[in-house]
Amino acid sequence: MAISRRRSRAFVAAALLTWSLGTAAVFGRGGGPLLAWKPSLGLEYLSRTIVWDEETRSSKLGASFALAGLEVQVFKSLTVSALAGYSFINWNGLVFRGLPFSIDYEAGSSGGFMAGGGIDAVVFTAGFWELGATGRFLASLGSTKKLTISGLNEPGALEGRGTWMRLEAGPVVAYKGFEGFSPFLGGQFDRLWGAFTLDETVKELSGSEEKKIKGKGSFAVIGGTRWEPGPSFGLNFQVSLLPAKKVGGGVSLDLGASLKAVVSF
Amino acid sequence: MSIRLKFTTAVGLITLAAAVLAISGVRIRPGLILERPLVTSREAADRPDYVPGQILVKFRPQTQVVARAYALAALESRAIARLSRLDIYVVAIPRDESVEKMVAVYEGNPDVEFAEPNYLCRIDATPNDNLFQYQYALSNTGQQIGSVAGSPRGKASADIKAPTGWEESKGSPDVLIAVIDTGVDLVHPDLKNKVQGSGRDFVNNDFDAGDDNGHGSMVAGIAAAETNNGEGVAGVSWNSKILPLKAMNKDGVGPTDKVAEAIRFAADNGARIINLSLGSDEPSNTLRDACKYAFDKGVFIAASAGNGGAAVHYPAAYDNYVFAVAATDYNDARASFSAIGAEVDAAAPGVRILAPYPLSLTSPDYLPYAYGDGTSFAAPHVAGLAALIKSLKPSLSPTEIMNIIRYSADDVNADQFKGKDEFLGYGRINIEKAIIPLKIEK
Repeated sequence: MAISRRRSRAFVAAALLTWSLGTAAVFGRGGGPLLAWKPSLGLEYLSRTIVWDEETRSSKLGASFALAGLEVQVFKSLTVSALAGYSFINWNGLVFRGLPFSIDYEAGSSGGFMAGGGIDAVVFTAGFWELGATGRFLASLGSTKKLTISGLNEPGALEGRGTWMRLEAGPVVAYKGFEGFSPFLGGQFDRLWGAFTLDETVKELSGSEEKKIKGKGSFAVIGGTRWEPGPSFGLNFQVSLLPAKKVGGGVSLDLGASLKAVVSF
Repeated sequence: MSIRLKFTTAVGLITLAAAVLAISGVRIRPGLILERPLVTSREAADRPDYVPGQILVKFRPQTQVVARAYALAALESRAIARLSRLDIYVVAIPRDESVEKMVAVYEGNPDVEFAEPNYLCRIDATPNDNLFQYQYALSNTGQQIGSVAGSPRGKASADIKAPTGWEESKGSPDVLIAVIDTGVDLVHPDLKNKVQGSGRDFVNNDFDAGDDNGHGSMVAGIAAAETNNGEGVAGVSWNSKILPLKAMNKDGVGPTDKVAEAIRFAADNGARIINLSLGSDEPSNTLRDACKYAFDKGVFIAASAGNGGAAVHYPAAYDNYVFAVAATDYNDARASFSAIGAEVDAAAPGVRILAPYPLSLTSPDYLPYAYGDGTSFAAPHVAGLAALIKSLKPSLSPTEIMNIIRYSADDVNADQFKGKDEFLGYGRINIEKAIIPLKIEK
C-alpha cells in the first residue's frame, strides 16, 4: 500500500514536472522571439520539515537567503533565469549518533553561497486569466562551520558542512484584471534534499558522519501577487504552504515566503 | 575487614606449611595454597604468588615441534597443557627445581620467546554484608545506603548517571559481556535470564560455570543484572547478556593459564566486553598476550586496578589493551584501598556496592544480595558502560571505547589533581556524558 502510494505520488510529481517544464519550453515560444533582460533581487525565507536517518527522525531546516538573478525573456512567453546568492541556513535539531561522542547539533546558522536557475512560461491566456508554468532549481553550496566541544576532559572540535538542493515546478494561475497588480495561485511539486557532514575530533578520537536529509512533503500551494507600479519595475511577493506528515504522527505546515524586485530593460 | 583479620593466622600457617613441604621436596599440589581466605594484593605480596612446579613457556613461532619437544625433554619438563591460539605451554618442571631457576634456564634458550611463573590472580574484594537494594552507584540522591541503622549516606550526584544514560541506551543482547571470575550463579533471579548457556568452568574443566564464591555473581550483576523485572538490583547494561567463565576457584584464586585461557575463550566465543575483577602483582607475558589477543579481536577489557593501595596490578596495568578501573566511594572520594598508578584510566564506585549474591551461599533469612567493597566492583560498572557504548556504536574499536569513557569521566578530584592523575585516572565515569548526545550550541 505504501509503495503504491509512493508510486502514485512520484507519478503526479513527474507529470507536474514534465508538464511545467515541457509546456514552458514548448508553449513559451508562442509569442515569437523577444529578448529582454531583467535583473532581479530577492529575499527568501524557508522553513522546512526535514527527515533523516532513513526517515525515522525529523527536524526543521531554516534558511534565509538573498538571490540576485538575471532573467532573460527569450520569447514573449518564456523567461529563463540564472540565480546566485548567499544563504544563512540553520541545521538545528540534527542529531549525530554515528560519531564517537554523539552530537545534538544546535549551533545555529551557517552561511554559504547559492546558485540556481529557473524557467517561467505563459501557457495560454483567456480573458483576464493566464495559465503559466514555473520551475526553479536552487543549490546551497554550503560552507564549513567550526565549533568546539566543551565539558569533556580533552578539548574537542567539530567541523560541519551542509549542502541542500531544491527543485520546484508547477502550474500557476494569475488574474490580470487589476490595474498594476496580479494575484496568482498555484500548486507546486517541491522537492528538497541534501546532506550535512559533521567531523569530530577529541584528542585521538575522530569520526565523521554524513546525514542525508530530505524535505518532508512534496506538494505545496503557492499564492501571491505581482505588483508593477511602472512598466520597468515589478515586485513579486509569494508565500508557500507545504503540509508535511510528522515522523511521530500529525501534520505540520511548512512556510516559505519570498519578496523579489525585478527591473526590466 | 574483620573476616580478613580472622583468617590472617590461618594464612600464615598455610604459607608456613607450604614452605616446609617445598623444602622437604614434597610436591605442593596446586590448590593447597588456594585454601586461604580472600586477601588483598597487599596481603598477598610477601609470598610466592604462582603455581608451584609449573611455568609458562612460549617458543618462538619458527621453532619446530620436534625442537620444542627436545627442549622440554632436555630439562626434564613436560608440557601439561597448551593455550591454543596463544601458543603458550603450561610446563611441569622437575620437582626438585625451583620455578625461578627453571624460568631462567628457559629464558636462556634462544628458541624461547619468554618463560615465566604461572602467577596466581586474585579477586579484588570480599562481599561483606547481605542487605538489599541501595544502589547509590547508579543514582545517588544522598540516600542512606543500607537499611541498617547507621548506614552511611552519600553525596547527591556522586554516581555514574545511569538513569539519564538509560534514556539513550539500555544495552543490546548482541553485546555479550564475559565475566571471568569465580563463576556466576546460574539460578539467581537477577541473573538466570541473563547468562548465555551455563558458561565454561576452567577450574573444574567442565561447562557449568556456577559460582561457589559469590564474587563473580556480584560482578556479573553490577554489569548486567536483569533490570526492570520487579526485584533485586539493576545492572548497568540492562539488555546485555553475560558469558560466565570460571577461572577462579571457590577461594577466589586462579592461575594465570586459566585466566588467559578464559580470555582467549571469551574472545573466540562472541564476547565484545570482558570484565576482569582480578589480578596479580606480578606481570605475566601470558596474561598480556591473552589480553592482546582479545584486544586485537575487538574486545574491550575492563579490569580492576587492585586493592592494595599500591601499584596497579596485572592485567589492569597492561595499558595498551586493558582499561584499569580505580574505585571511588559514595562521596566521589577515592577509596583508600584503590591502587595507584599512571595506568589507572578512570574510576567507578567501588565502596558499599550492592549486587546479586548466590542463592546457595545466602543464609535463609537474607535476600540473595550483598554489599561489597573493592575495585572488583568498580570494574563492572565500566564493563557495563562499555557494553552500552558498544550497543549504540558497534563499529567502535576497544581503544575508541576506552577514550570515550576516559574523556567523558567527571574529574571528581580536580581540586587536588586537575586532569588525569594516578589516583582516579580521568575521573569517575559518567554514562550520561559518554552516550547522551552532547548539545552543541552557538
